[in-house]
Amino acid sequence: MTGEALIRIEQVDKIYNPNRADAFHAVHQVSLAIEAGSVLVLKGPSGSGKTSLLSLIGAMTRPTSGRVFVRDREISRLPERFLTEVRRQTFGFVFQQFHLIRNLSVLENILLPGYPGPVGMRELSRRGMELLQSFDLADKVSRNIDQLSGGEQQRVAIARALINDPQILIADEPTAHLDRGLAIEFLDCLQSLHDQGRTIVMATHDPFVCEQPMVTRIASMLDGRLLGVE
Amino acid sequence: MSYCRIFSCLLSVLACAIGGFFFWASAQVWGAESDLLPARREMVRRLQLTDLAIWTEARYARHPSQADLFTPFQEFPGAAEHFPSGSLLAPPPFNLTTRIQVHAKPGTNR
Amino acid sequence: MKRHLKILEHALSSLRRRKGKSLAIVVAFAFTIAVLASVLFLSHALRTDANLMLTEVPDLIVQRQIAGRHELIPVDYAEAIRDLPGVAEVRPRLWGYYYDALTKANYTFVGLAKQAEPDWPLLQGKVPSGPDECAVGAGVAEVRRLTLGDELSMIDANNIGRFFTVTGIFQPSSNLLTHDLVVMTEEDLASFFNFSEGRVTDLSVRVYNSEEIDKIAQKVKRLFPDTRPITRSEISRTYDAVFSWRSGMLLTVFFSALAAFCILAWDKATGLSSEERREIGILKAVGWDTADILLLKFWEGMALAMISFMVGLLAALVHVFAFGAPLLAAVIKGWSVLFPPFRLTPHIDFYQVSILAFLTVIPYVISTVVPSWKAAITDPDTIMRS
Repeated sequence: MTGEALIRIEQVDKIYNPNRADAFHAVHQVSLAIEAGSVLVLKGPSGSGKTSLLSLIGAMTRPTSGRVFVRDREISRLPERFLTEVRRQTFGFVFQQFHLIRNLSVLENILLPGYPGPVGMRELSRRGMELLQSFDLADKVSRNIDQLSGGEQQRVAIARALINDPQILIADEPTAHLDRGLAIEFLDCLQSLHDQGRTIVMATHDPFVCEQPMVTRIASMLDGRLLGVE
Repeated sequence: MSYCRIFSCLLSVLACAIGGFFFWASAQVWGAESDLLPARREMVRRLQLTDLAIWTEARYARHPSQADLFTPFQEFPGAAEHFPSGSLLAPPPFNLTTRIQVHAKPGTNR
Repeated sequence: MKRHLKILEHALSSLRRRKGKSLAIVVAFAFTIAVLASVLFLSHALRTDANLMLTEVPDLIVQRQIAGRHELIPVDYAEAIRDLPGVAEVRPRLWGYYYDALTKANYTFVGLAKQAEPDWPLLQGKVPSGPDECAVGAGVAEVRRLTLGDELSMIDANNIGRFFTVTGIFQPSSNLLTHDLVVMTEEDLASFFNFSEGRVTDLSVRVYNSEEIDKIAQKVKRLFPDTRPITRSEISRTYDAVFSWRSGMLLTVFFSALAAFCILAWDKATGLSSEERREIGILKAVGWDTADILLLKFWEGMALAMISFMVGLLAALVHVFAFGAPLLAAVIKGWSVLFPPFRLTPHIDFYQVSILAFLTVIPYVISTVVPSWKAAITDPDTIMRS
């Protein structure tokens, strides 16, 4: 852990559908700094704004007000094209429901985030195969996603998040649909990634995740507000 | 790049099929037709022909010297005629049994 | 370039995953293109064949008109026209149409000057050299059941039956030119149609420099105001006009089919399935931006369009040049009582093919890309919140 703030968010608000009757204020004036190499957990009940804050941290959406910095560079006002490039190069996402594309093979799913980038197909495929080997999926390279077990799909989702070699991994409720055995497997995986020096940000309401020794900080949220960071 | 390779192979095969068929068809016909072309042109020159022998009954394909400057159902001298459905549909066939048999003069070879 | 190739790879993978739909589009699109291309190939082949054969057509035909109608022209006009600078040769033409009530066919009568060459290509037998002799085209021979030596009977302008001995029959390989011909001596033709003394049907003129044809036509008109000079380009334009007219009518009809196809494609693209929307959302979430999504849709459309275009083109070639375009020939070729059977020579106008590509591929690609815009601008974080 280097101690420098890799990501900084300052006084951000996020309102969905502003100026409409169904406007929803998801995040209220949140300020947070995330150090490089740390493991931050956003804890709170459903609807507390954890996913919205993850979207803001991961440059998936722009804040209604406030600023977001990645390596001291403000990204909150970047045009879509540059924002997407920052997101692609810096962040890897593991979604709650994995969101893998059915009828695509394992390798094709893993390579997807790399297609718009500058890396050629050959190099991309080589990286993809390396990841598959590291996740013990080398023998399933051309299988359809539908043919994999839950745990295997989870590993494919993580491999996909790592194809662009991002420094920051973002996971949204990663253990929500997993049994305890698979949850432990997943957390072991995250541990090894953390050991490689990556920064991890997770949103969860699972206490088991919060109790993991690799977790460096826990930020509690309620009703879109940051209650505290411990 | 497996799909890209398959796609480019498919396009190449189709392009070769198109080119190959065209050249084969040309070879089939051109060989014979190119020998006949000088003879046909000579025929045109000797007979001073100005038309092809198609649609001889149709006014719109008749030699311009024979077509009237103004005809019924025409908007303007020299304007193309309305496209009559008669150009597409032939009238009911004539009765072949009414034809007159022509016999050769005595002494000629038949 | 690398980005395009990778996105093309994914586009092709998407098409493979939706095999049924892709195949249906290729079949329908290729059929539409095949029909349009068939019309173009057929009419272009006919026009090209006509133009190739008619290269020896006289440069100018001078006819006489009285009260806006055709009138026989005095042979004396030929002398004055021959003296015009630039004129190489002037020959009188005696010819006319004859309607045979027996077969309901129109024959073209052509008069031959006495000093005609003895050996003729594409003719079985010989040309008429004396009175009451004729050479006929294969169509006339067939419909009147004539062979060499038979007699052809016709009613002349004085309503008297005349008999002409068939001395020659033109070979079928010259059908496009001679199918309805009856060739006889000029004297026989003049007496058959009751031409006045010293009158011919029109005059054919050859010039030294083909670029001066229009100038010489103007001089003829000034010299003889009652004449109408018709240039070679006007004659060939007749066939161009008729073939273009026919093919244009068909193309208009079939372009509406193409428009309907594009509307269908647009409708399909606007109604993306939930699976497709989900896929676009995932792509946005994992790092594709709007431009990448649109590029994906572009390549999906372009790949299908290119394959369909080439399959359609191949089908059109086979349909026209291998099978004689049975589905379209009746409309493009039309009919006549003595319609000459002939074989089409393969000619392709690459300019027309590229115009066809432009007018089919691009509208289809547009109709798949533009409606995808709405889905392509999906906020990436909707997938996080879904």
